[in-house]
Amino acid sequence: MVRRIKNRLRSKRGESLAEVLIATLLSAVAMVMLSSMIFTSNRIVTHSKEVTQKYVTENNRIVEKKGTYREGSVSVKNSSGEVMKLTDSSPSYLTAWYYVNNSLSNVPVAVYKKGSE
Amino acid sequence: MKRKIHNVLRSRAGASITFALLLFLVCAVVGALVLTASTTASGRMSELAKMDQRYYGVTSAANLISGELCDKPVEIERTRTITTVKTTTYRITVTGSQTTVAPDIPTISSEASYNTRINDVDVTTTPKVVSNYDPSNPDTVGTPLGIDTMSFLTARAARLLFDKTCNTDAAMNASMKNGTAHEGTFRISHDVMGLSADKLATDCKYEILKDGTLRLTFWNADGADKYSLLVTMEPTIEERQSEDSTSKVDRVYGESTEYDYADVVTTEVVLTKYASIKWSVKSVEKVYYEASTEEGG
Repeated sequence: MVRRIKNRLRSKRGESLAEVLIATLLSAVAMVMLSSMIFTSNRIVTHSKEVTQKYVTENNRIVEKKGTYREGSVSVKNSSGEVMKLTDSSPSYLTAWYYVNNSLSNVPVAVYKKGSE
Repeated sequence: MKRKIHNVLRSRAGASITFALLLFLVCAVVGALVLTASTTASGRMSELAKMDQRYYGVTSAANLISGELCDKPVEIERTRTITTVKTTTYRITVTGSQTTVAPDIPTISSEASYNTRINDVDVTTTPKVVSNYDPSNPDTVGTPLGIDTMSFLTARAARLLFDKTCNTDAAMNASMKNGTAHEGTFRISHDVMGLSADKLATDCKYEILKDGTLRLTFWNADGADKYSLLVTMEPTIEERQSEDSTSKVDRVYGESTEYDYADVVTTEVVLTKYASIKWSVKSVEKVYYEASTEEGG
């Protein structure tokens, strides 16, 4: 097989029309494939940029604790799993406001703070 | 060289298919590389978000807990009242016109009563009373504080001062500036719609040092990769005491056949000790997470 390829490479015989056509077709397919890959890659990068931009903007919003929030509760449990009050004046369940960055829906990022009673 | 180029130009030898195959291969490899690079770049985003999820979960917990504990004083007031009763009995003897008053050996009895109030609440329900109080041999059995029923901050202050019992002379002499070091853990749990409680849950190890410094180490309860933060809270301790003494003498006549009258001197010495502690955030720093951190007692 190797010998055959070697011979083929050394051969001084010209190419037939069929061979040239096949080679041209192959080259064309290769070029189309490469260009589509570059195009797809470009689209991925652009989309990724947009997602990053949105993610960073949303992150800035939640860090500054601005905009919409969800209300929930925070409790502190001791090593026995019982809910305990943090101070004598604290409620057992503290109201908390959760600012959520959902721009990457599969990984929600949340910042929370003590909410108003 | 010129000849070589001339030969190449005139040559009829070809390698169209080989060249095309080679070009195809090069294009495929380059294309695959470009695609892989862009896919990896976009894949990093979710990893970044997971890191942020851990980071913001822990920092939020640290802010909320330290904010809630900051500048909330815990005031503890201890009172010991020592009541000493000295009774001297007298017998009157009348011989002719002479009246002799002879005192007997006085009897002395002492009693100590203790009371402890934390944040103006009596934690011992009733004052503990020790009969036959002897200052050289003070009672060693105190009243359990019931720390489990107290709030976190009150329990930390009470344990720093008393360890587990109060209403003893040892508890009266205790100081928050050289108290009982102790540690433990707790978990911050969440209940919020649309968010995973497990991902938000944060564990915390608290350490109270002898000088009252409160160290809170937070880390993510969920997952193998944990972000860890140490909040150091500095104590402001105020301690003072006051002593008040009152004395009264009562004369009692003929209550017994053994004596004619008795002088009863009742002395009451009230020692009040006041201690208050409050914490403020001194520093917040990122620390390396160690699995041994979770083994808090």
